[in-house]
Amino acid sequence: MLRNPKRLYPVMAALTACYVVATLLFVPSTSTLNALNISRDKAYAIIITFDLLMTILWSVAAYGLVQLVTYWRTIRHTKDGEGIKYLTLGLGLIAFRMPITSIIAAIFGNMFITHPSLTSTAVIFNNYLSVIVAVAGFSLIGFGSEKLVNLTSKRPHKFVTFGLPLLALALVTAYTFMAIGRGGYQVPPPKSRASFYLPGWLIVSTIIVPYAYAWYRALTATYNLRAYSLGVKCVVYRESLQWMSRGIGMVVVNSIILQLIGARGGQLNKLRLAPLLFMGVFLICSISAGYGMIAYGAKKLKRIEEV
Amino acid sequence: MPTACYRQLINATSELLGPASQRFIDRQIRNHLSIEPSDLTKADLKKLIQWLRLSVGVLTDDEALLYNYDLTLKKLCDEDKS
Repeated sequence: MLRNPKRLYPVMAALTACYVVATLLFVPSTSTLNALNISRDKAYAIIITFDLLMTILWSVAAYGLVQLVTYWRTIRHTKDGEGIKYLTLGLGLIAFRMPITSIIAAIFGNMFITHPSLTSTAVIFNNYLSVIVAVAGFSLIGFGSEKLVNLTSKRPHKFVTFGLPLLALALVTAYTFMAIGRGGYQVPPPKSRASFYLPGWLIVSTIIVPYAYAWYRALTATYNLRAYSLGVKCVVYRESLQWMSRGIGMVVVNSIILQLIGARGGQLNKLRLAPLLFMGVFLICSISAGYGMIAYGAKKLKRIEEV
Repeated sequence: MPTACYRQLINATSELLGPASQRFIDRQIRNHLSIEPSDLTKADLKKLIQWLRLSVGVLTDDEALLYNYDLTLKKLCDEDKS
């Protein structure tokens, strides 16, 4: 990815194509649709709408990554090059996790009535993949942001030392309540699927605790990037950098929100369709906007290195 | 060994381009004067400053910023003359 960034386009295009085919081939069975109280026509309308939105999201994500990698290749031998490299790797992991887990969910996620064992395996796999990518991705982003902020004379505000751990703790508490506080996490409720298919102690030790670490790293990284972009005392460079740091912040925050919602994944179908769709569209648009801002900022920074 | 006028140029440009200023100045010197940055002399300054004005003009359309940068470069040139 780092040597030839344009290879990202065909890879993302292939994943997107697989996702679209999977959603159209593996439409929920009639019994599942009846359980969800959705007509077949409505199901197709929702599927096609989300296929289009996901295609847009992953295209923008790929474009943003390519711009970021291209910028990194321009400055890779400089002081800020290493920080940008780790940011890029972390964002790449987060971007590519989305289509992979979506493909698996599209194929196996709706088989909870006809083939429950396949659904449970897919749910467990997706949950652990999400955790691993969150820990690895946010760690890389955090590491990159630390390298960048250390280039400035900015020292962390007291808020970082006390406030961010508390915020991460609050998010983890909310996640814990959503994940295991209301049942339906190990044994699927009637006409639905479980959120984890795992016992509570295993969810806490192998999913919630790693998420706590990942989200703390993510929140710290967002703060560090903001501090770095404000710490550079130069107008043109700072303006371009702020676009990139805002974009990374949006991607990070919306990824955390997605993970929080995923804690109730199995029971989301009990919500009314309209708010569910609205939430999905809003999150997809937010993450797309984040990657779009990253692309815009990276392009402006690259221009400074080329003129 | 970087010359005094080279260091002055980088200081002036770092107000706009920060960490990228040295790379920017080096590129302008190599591309437009066909010399190494360490060989920059006061005689090359006037020609280089014209290119710097043009290049920074491509990166931003903030008139006030460009005007101030132009003033700073003129001052460097005038210091050289005096």
